[in-house]
Amino acid sequence: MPPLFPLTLALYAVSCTLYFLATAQPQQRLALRLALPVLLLAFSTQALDIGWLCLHGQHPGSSAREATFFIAWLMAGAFPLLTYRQPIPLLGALLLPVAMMMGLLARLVPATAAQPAGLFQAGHRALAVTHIFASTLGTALFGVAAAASVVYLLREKRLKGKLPIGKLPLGTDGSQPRVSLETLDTWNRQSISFGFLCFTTALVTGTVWLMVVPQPDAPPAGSGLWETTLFLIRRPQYSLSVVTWLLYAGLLYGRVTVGLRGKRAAAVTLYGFALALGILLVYLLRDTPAKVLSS
Amino acid sequence: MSRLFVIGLSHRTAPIEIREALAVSDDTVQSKLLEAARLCGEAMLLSTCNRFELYGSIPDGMADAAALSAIQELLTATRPPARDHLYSHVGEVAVRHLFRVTASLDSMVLGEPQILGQVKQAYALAQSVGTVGGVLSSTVPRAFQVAKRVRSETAIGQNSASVASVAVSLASQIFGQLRGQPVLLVGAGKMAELCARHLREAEADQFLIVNRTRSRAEDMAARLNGTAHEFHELESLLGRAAVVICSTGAREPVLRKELLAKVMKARRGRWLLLIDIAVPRDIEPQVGELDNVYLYDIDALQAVVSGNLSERQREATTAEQIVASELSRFQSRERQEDVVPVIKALRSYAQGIAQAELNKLLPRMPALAERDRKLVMQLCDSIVNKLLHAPLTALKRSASGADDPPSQLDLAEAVRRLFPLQLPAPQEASEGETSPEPVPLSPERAAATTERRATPPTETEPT
Repeated sequence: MPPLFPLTLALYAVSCTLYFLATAQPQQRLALRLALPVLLLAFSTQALDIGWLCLHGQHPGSSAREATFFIAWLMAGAFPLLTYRQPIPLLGALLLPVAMMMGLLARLVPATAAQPAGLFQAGHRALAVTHIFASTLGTALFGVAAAASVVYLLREKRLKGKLPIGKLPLGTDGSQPRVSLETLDTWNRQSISFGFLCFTTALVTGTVWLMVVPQPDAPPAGSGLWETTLFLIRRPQYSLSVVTWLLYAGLLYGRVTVGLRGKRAAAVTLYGFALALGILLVYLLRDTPAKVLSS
Repeated sequence: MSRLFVIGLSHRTAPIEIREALAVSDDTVQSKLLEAARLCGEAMLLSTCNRFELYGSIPDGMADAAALSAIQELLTATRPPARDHLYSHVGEVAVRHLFRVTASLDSMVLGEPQILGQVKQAYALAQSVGTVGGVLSSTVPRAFQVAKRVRSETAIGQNSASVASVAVSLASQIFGQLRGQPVLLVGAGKMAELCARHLREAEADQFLIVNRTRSRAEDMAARLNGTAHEFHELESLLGRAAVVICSTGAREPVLRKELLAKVMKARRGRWLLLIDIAVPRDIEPQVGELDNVYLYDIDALQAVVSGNLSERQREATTAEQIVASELSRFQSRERQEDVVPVIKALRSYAQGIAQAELNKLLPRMPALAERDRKLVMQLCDSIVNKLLHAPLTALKRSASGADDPPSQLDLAEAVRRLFPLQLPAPQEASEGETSPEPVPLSPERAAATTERRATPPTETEPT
């Protein structure tokens, strides 16, 4: 376990609590003022941890566990970037617990889980690293889009339901921020566009990887549909990846062609992120990538 | 020590005719301030459409009733009926009143933001005329801080309190920046224009006006710097607009779900805010079921306003607590400042006695070595300090209100009476006006200082 992880976890927990408080009591600006420095501190300590792990051969490309830890770090870092000018404590209260839980889950998975042999053969390292980094970054961006979608759906429900506008979170200077539905939808679109690019890269490199590296349980060339189906059942992450890619592709296509946006786009984003988390979970439990890079 | 006073009337005590009669123009404010300052040393005049108040200080040695009568006479000399509507407060109550007024707790629309700026303007004007002295300069800036604290720590001014401002708030919730977002007005009613004006203040800059009577649309377009259009252009205009405000007198809905569904398809799902302030309604309620369409009719808008006002009312409780705590701190600080001259004078008095005794003693002891002389002097200082320590501590504690239980004695006054202290003269007003000469007035008028409460206001817009 990286040396600063307990501290990182505690800092994330404090930051989450502060964002919850800032969401529930927008007038108490102290919580909002403290939340960001605590989050940045947590982000820094996690960065040091990732550096320490890299020095010990466990870089983000070395295993699904480290990739998940890295995704959690990216998600936590995306929040202050997004909300630098327009604080949305609710986004912090939604995104940071997910990031924290992913970081925790990554550290709870045993490092010595079974690792399929032969995935990281000499000559394929670049492919493997590209694949893992691209999928990591893509998942992190989908996570950001999903958090923005949840905030969108909550705001939209209030507006549609003609409920009192309610307490808007104040900026740290006491001003009232204007995070509109349009802004949230823009964040969703931008995150998914970049995330989709990364995810597509990951899918292509993953396919090439499968083609160039022989899989021990892969059906032999020329095998029938049944063998292929059995193989895909044994490796659900492949099917899930394709479904996720199709879902986001459909969303982007819908945005471009028929103006799919707002509530429907937010809902599709959430389904897509649930699938992406499912893929990550399968990888975590199976700990597919090997240690070859570090060997 | 001079004390703050306020005398005036507001929407709570006087109808608009009286407030109008008493209001002073910018040209006459200066002369009024100078006249008031001649009577009481300091003056600040707050004249808005909802209140007319004069703040000043009652100098030492002047009776409250006499000072207030003089000011009352000055304010109402040409408008005697206003006297029945005046209220006045002195000292702590006046400070509390100033804090509440500045924090918008006494406004017609609770939490409206304009009053803080109006008090600031009044204070700046009084400063420029030179009628601000020690009392106003210590109290009014404090009121600004209290108002700032109330606004930042409570939601009292946060949610919109009128239909027009709710429309703006909704538009901001959906679109953020309103610059570049076209606003379509269907019908040229007054309420629609009011909403449009609020949107323009929020930086909306494109107004499209459609009305069955073209000339009225053109008139409104000229006032709003927008463009007038024919009614048959409605569908294409709906495709462009971000906010639509409907206020026609039509008996049947002007915008139906089928039309809006077609428009939304053409808009490729872009958000559309529909504000329907017409009765009967101009927009079919089913339109609100469409994706990315937000429909608010007059009832929904009023419900939002009521909810927001209730929210403000709830926040007012917290705001009152802030005012109370700030008032307590202010008084404590004032009392401490009051006692400083007494402490200095008492210490100086005791040290003077010690020094005098030393001056008598030391010449009679010429054989005393320099070192021993210093020891004797140190002994005297030490005795003085030790003797004074307990009474000075008690004075400070009493002034800060830290006594437990709180002392009913005015220790500073007791010290003044027990010792022949030489205290510095009280601070004069900054403009150095002549010493106040109370104007003799009937005691009945002086006693008529009770604040009267009028019927609660029904308006929701600050003016």
